[in-house]
Amino acid sequence: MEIGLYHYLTLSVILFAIGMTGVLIRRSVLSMLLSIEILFNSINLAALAFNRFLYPATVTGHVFVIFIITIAAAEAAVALAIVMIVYKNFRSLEVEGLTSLKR
Amino acid sequence: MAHALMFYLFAALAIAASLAVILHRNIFKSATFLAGMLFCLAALFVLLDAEFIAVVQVLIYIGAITILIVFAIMLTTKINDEHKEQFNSQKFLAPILALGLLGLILTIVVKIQWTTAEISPVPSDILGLIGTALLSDFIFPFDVVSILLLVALIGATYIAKQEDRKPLVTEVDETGEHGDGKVKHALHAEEVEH
Repeated sequence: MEIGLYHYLTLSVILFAIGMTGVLIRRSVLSMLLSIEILFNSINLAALAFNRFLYPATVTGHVFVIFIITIAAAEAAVALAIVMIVYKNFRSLEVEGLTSLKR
Repeated sequence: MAHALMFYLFAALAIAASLAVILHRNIFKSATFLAGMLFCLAALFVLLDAEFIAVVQVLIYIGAITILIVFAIMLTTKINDEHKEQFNSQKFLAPILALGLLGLILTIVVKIQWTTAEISPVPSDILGLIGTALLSDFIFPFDVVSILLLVALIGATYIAKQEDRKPLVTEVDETGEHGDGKVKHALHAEEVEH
């Protein structure tokens, strides 16, 4: 069977579900960040598959993916700075412990 | 045929690596599996005739973002963290929810008739097309992303460099439990000292 758009979209959706599960079930902030990277990459795969199989003469999907990667880099930098501050203040990275705003 | 073989190989590797990322107890190994998963996706991008994106993926994702995360892991995680409970109370509910979402989106994907009757070849100078698109059609998003990167750089530096400030909370109970009331607030104590 020829590998087509369906195969890539299926893989993308499976990766998205795995990443979403990871964001929901992990307790550590860093593990959630890793899962968010999985989410970003499943979206990249879907964008490139659409670009390749539906509009191969254009590069709109490529440009979208470049923007997503750039924003993922910015997000990682800011998130890791926040992680450092959280760890310095709380000595822990578990999201259940970060409840200062509740009081 | 070779295309199908490569697709199934890297797809299986990507799914296995991402499952290892979310399930492994050692977060450092999770980050290593994330690098492997990103590499599998770069290979899939090559199969999709997006070689430039594949190179960008290896350079920026594996070379920069994963290394950044590994630095953060080394700076923050203790050795015995992997013996703690890694998953929260949603660990049985969340996979069900994710499977439901998976089934929903897959139903939509399969039902839609995408017009992929004939697959035309990609243009030869795809890199030139990307450059032209970035500086003509996408010039405004390009500028916005540039400003966003600058702001993120300054913001990350500002947030991470807070050595001269007093920490909000100084002491945490050493038992590893982080329930309510075990995190002491030191704000008032510091104010009293002053």
